[in-house]
Amino acid sequence: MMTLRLAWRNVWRQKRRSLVAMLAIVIGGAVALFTDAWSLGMIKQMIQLQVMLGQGLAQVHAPDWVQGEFAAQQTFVRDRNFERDLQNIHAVAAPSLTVEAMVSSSYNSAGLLVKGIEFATQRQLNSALVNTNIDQDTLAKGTIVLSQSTAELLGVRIGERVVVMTTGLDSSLVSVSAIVSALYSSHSSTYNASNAFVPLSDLQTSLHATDRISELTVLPAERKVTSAFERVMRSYDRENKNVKIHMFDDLNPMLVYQRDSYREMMWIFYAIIGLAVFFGIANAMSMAVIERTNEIGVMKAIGMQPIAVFRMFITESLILGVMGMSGAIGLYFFLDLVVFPNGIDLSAFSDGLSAFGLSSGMQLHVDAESLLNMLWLPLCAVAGTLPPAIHVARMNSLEALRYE
Amino acid sequence: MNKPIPTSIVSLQQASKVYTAGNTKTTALNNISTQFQEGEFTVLAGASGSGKTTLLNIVGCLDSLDSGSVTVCGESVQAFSQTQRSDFRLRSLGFIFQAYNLIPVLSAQENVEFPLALMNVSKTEARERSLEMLTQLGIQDLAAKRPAQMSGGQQQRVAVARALVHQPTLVLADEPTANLDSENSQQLISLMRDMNQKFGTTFLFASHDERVIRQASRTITMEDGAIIRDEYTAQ
Ligand SMILES: Nc1ncnc2c1ncn2[C@@H]1O[C@H](COP(=O)(O)OP(=O)(O)O)[C@@H](O)[C@H]1O
Ligand SMILES: [Mg+2]
Repeated sequence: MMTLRLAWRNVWRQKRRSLVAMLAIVIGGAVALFTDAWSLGMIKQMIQLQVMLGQGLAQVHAPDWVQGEFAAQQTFVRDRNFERDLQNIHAVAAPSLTVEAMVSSSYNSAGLLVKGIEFATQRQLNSALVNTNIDQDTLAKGTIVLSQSTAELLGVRIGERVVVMTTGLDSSLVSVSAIVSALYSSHSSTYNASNAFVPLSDLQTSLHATDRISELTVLPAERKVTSAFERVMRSYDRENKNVKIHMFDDLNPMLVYQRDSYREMMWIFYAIIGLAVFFGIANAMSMAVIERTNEIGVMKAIGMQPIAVFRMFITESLILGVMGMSGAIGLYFFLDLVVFPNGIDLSAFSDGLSAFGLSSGMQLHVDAESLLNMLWLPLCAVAGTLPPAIHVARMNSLEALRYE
Repeated sequence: MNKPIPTSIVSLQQASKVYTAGNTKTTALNNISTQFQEGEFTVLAGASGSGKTTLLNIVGCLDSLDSGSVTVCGESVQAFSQTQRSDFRLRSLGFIFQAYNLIPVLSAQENVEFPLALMNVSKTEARERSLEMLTQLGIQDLAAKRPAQMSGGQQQRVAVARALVHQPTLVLADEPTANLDSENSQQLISLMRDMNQKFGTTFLFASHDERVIRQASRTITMEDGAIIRDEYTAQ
């Protein structure tokens, strides 16, 4: 108790010095937390946008499906019972059949992924289709939806015709014409450059692939992979040899790697902040030790044990560190909740960022680990106090008393 | 009734201490042998540099002898480890220094509680005992004051309270009146004397102030690290 009281009062003895030391911790900590929240927020948003750009959180494919290949052989027959089961747990289940095709106008042509979709379900998990001018629940027969950028490339407008050329399931050349019925624009420029949509039934007919699809995209109601959802998917996977289920993490190794590994890079950042705290506190506490040499001599002469003197200084720095840490967390939440309540406006960079799937209005995001990392601050403060505290603990009381 | 035979609180046998600073050797204590009995109120007199502080530091277990032996409260303190010395000082000794006596961030009463806190006396008991001690010395009004809010005389009286609160056997004071005017010096020594008589606590203090020296029951005069006179005053 006496230790705590002495430490607390000693903190306030040199108010300015203590406040400067604490401010350094507050700023260092808040910057670290902000950087953390920024990176986490970005990754989280990248994942979120990816999920909502037609990826869903799980996909059902043919067993020999290879990511990035769109061979007609990699199709399977729709299982409407399973789709109904998923709808019963309020998951979105969107079937699609994707082929690589050459889409041509009289002016230009583009190699695209043409996706046969059921508009009503696809719209629920594909943000690209949300802001189109399509207000009915189905795509009209014989139509195609292009991205704005593709339409510009091909030099076509709504109502004009393009020719879609691809190979059928039997390797025959299939060539159909379609009318551009709508244009979409997603936040991802790479997505825009490579995707077009047609009615699923049109594509199935053209390819002679009645009732076959290449993917069933699933988005659970909670918009995250719950254990219940994972169980449903895994058991379906086990029971059906003619399909293979891929979860989001299997499909996005780079994003997952980024999500899981960015913290390993943060340590450099934390090391720098830790060093600043270490030396800042070491300096402040060394000065305190010099100023208090005589009274430490008195305390020791009266009978205070070296370890108790040591503890007194460590407690003092712990108070500084914990208050600095609290200040850092407070400052961060002030920034998050008061300064940027609607996320951070990245619109100035949004052209460049859209390629990464990032749009403006990014929400900062901290998690328990980010907050737990803040304990690093008082830890470094205590570490910085070790040299001066060990010095006073060892100091001879007579020499301390004589010190001028 | 017979007076009990006074027991020896401190015993020095051929005690010597030499300081070496560079090439010069200073004999701070030169083969001193003497004893202090329980209840004595002894002053160490002598010119500056005569070895008073050194002697007090030896008895106070703050420094050690080069040769000879010292026994304090029946213990051969020379053989103690650092931890034992700290503990011994805490339990058996009281200290009053010339300056920087009080801990600046603690109030008068908290300063008096300090040794009790080190001895793990409970908070409430420490409160009671410290206030009682301040009252004994007639300075209970100062209880809440910080050292910076007190005069030098008041601070030294609080230091006396702190030196006595844990009922030590021996109180050591190195020129406690050096920074005080004559009136405050007189008062402080009277106070120490009162406590010496009331509690029977043994006092050993250094001073070169004639008026202070006159109040002691025993005066040891030192010169060049040796005792040149040892007188008892009839009170
Ligand atoms: N730490 C030290 N180093 C060297 N010489 C010292 C030290 N302490 C005391 N002395 C010397 O020892 C002698 C006795 O000093 P001291 O005991 O302080 O005398 P007093 O207290 O009577 O003035 C003096 O000559 C002093 O210079
Ligand atoms: Mg002296």
